[in-house]
Amino acid sequence: MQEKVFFHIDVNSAFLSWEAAYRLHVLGEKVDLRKIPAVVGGDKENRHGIVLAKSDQAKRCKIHTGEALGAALQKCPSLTIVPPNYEMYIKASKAMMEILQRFSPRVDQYSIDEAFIDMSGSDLLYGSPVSVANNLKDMIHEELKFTVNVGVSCNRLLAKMAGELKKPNLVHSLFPEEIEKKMWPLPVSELFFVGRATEKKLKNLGILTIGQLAKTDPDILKAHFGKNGEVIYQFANGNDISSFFTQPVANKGYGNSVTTPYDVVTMAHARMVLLSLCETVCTRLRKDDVKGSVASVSYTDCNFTHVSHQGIMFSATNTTTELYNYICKLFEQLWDETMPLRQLGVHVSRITSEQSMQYNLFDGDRYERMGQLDRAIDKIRNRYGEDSVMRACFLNTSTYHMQGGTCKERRTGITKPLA
Amino acid sequence: MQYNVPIDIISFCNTLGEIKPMRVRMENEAHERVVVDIQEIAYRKETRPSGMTILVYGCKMILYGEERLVELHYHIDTHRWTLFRIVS
Repeated sequence: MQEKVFFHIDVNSAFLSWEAAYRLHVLGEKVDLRKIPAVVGGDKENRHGIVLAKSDQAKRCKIHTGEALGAALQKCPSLTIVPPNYEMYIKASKAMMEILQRFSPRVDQYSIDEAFIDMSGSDLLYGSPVSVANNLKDMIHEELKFTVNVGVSCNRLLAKMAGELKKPNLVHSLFPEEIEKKMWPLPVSELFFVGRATEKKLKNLGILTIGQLAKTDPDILKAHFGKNGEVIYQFANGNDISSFFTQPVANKGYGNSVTTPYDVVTMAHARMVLLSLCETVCTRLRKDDVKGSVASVSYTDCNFTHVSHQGIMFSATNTTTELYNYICKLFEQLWDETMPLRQLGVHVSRITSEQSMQYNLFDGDRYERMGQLDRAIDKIRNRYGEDSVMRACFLNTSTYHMQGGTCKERRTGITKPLA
Repeated sequence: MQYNVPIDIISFCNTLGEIKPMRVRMENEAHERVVVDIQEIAYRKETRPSGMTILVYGCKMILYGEERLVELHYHIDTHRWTLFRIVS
């Protein structure tokens, strides 16, 4: 059988590289953001200030992606902060995918800055995979002025792991015979699918490196992590279970939250924010044609204390008004209107796809009609845009009528939404 | 001189879809409008930094009383021309 070859292409600190290339070559600025401590971060005015991407210099100051901008500034006072420009990032991403298409017809975009390409059977056409990967990397640098890492291997998982090895602007191969030398000495947190929680659990089991994980009895892992144990065991041994890259798992819950531009101090304002969140959550539920019966509401106050409260509704629902009424009831029990709030969240779980409904003696008929109204509104919004119809209470207020989730500028259409 | 200055352009587009800048109008340091004819296009190329397609023209023109090579950029996405830099 013909040997498979996969490339994994990953842009080195994507948003920052794109921003730097744009500023150098389009705006004609003299400073290269990649060579100074710099971060791309959200806008401060709306208090969405977190680090989205960082330069190597900033990394040396121990600045992490996802950290608050204020904390990052404390670590490195000379830090340059530039606001994100998603439109440009999409263009950069598309331009890169177009270059990848020149090498292989099978390009599988994994996120805005990552892609897999299937290069199986191309060695007679182009030569050895590693030299093609080097050409590809140089071509992207030459044409688009940013650097990428390319991982080369015989399956997607190993290609991805290879791409993470040493950065920036390098090509790494990680074929099965190289696993022991290149992958096993790495800490487990580097392994795909191992997040912070899994890392901690593995640490308690005395497993620190990928090599140790690969040699652990899979039954022990299964006992501790369930089905996921089997997956990470296979991954540590370099076996790709490709379905994990393609098959989406059904959502267990639907939630959205929002940090408001200024603190919420009145119940009326809080209700508006909650309504806008319910609108978003229920739209997502209806889109997937499911209902949820456990509602929960949460808030973070100005001292960053996080509190939540949940309850079971009379019947599973995806009607905005019904969920909103219940959420308000929960919220009134939770908040006493003393602490100013900075973040509010609504979550629905115990999801079912059953269409039947338990009628309430008094308002059953009303909710059915509300459901019909919601469906009609969804149709209008699908056709004419999200802002085509909104509740009158949001008119002339600063509260957007469907809050939570990725903000509009960030919905690139490339990173698939989880919903 | 400042870099990446927005400029007005009179250009010539031929049947092959090529664009040829001919005359430049810009603001000088004293905020006066000056018009400069392009003597010769020395080179042209296309770059795509971060996916923005830019046509680069190296043009010879008389600036400050002497012939200079300047780089003009045409931003395809926004249809804007800029005087990117003075090469020599």
